Amino acid sequence: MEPKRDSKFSISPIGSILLVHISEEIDDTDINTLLDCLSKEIVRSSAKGIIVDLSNIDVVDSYLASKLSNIASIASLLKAKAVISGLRAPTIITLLEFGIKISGVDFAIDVDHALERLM
Amino acid sequence: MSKIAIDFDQDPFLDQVINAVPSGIFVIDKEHNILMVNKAAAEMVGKSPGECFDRKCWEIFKTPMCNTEECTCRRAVESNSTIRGLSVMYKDGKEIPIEYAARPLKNFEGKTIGCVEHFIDISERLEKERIIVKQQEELLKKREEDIRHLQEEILELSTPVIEVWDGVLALPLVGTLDSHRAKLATERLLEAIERTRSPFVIIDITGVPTVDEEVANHILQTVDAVKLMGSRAILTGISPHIARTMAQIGVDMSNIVVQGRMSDALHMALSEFIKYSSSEDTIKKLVKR
Repeated sequence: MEPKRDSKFSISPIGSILLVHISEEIDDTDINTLLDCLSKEIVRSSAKGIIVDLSNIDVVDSYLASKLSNIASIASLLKAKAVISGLRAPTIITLLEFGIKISGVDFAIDVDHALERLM
Repeated sequence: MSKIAIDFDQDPFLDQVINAVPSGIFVIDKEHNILMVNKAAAEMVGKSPGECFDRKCWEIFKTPMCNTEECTCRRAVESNSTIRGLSVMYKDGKEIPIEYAARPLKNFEGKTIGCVEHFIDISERLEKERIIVKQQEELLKKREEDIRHLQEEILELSTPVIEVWDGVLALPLVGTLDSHRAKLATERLLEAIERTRSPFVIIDITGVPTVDEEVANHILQTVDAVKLMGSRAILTGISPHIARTMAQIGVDMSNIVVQGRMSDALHMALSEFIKYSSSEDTIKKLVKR
């Protein structure tokens, strides 16, 4: 299943790494589609790492946080490392205030640093 | 009315003395007839002493207490003691605040024959007091403002984020960490990481005198925030005393990298740089600096 053109996310391969962009308007069904697409893509391209870029996201709610943790566990089961990049200061403050945890995943300040970490 | 022992009019010396006194003095008999009045007292109500003489005191000095149960002279005579207090008089329709004192007057036999009342205009004094109170209030307000300003200043000063090396930030925490300060420090730190894209952050708590559960949680939260940002936090400057308290509280420090001194942390950060950077340029860049 290929993501549609007007999709709220994109998956682009960079070498052996998959770069996932998520836009602000992503909803719950889109996330499930993303999980589906991503897991297939990891296997198909035998990627060794994935980067989820959240620089377009202002608010990470508990649902998105749990899905991000899901992505991390899926990735590790498929022998790939997951890195989340681009979380911004206000977003992090909100996460801490609400006690929302994103587990099993590494973080990087931007895509560049994430790539460095996965290389 | 029995004749009073001292005939004021017959004694020019006493008359002069009494008129020379700047505060108001008058003497009445038991029926409130004015037997004697000095210049200052008459002037206070815009009259001459001659106009006041031989009239009822309440006709001349129209204080709110005059000719009532509260009459100062009556109270002084009845209680056989000195009565003091504050009141007002009216001159040309203007209110003049006064302070008075009344005392019963006795003849040589010890029998009360009247009353002496003495009063002074205190409008100037009240005005001065008002000014003093106003000045005090202003001073207090200014001081409060100063204190608030200083507190803000301290808050600003107490959470500096320093770039100690390319890619290494330091957050030296000094003083007691309350939630407000911890939040401010975290925000500052995150902003600095965002700006400098530093992969390492050294949080130094040498200047934190005591650590309780709340403070420990603040530190852990800051470390978490740094991690979410994609940097690594290194905690330094834990004193033996604080280490003991933290162990006692049971703070979970398993996810936290700890180094003894800030220099150790800097060493560690730099060696990590070298370990992880595959390109030789990066190493050269780091070493040459």
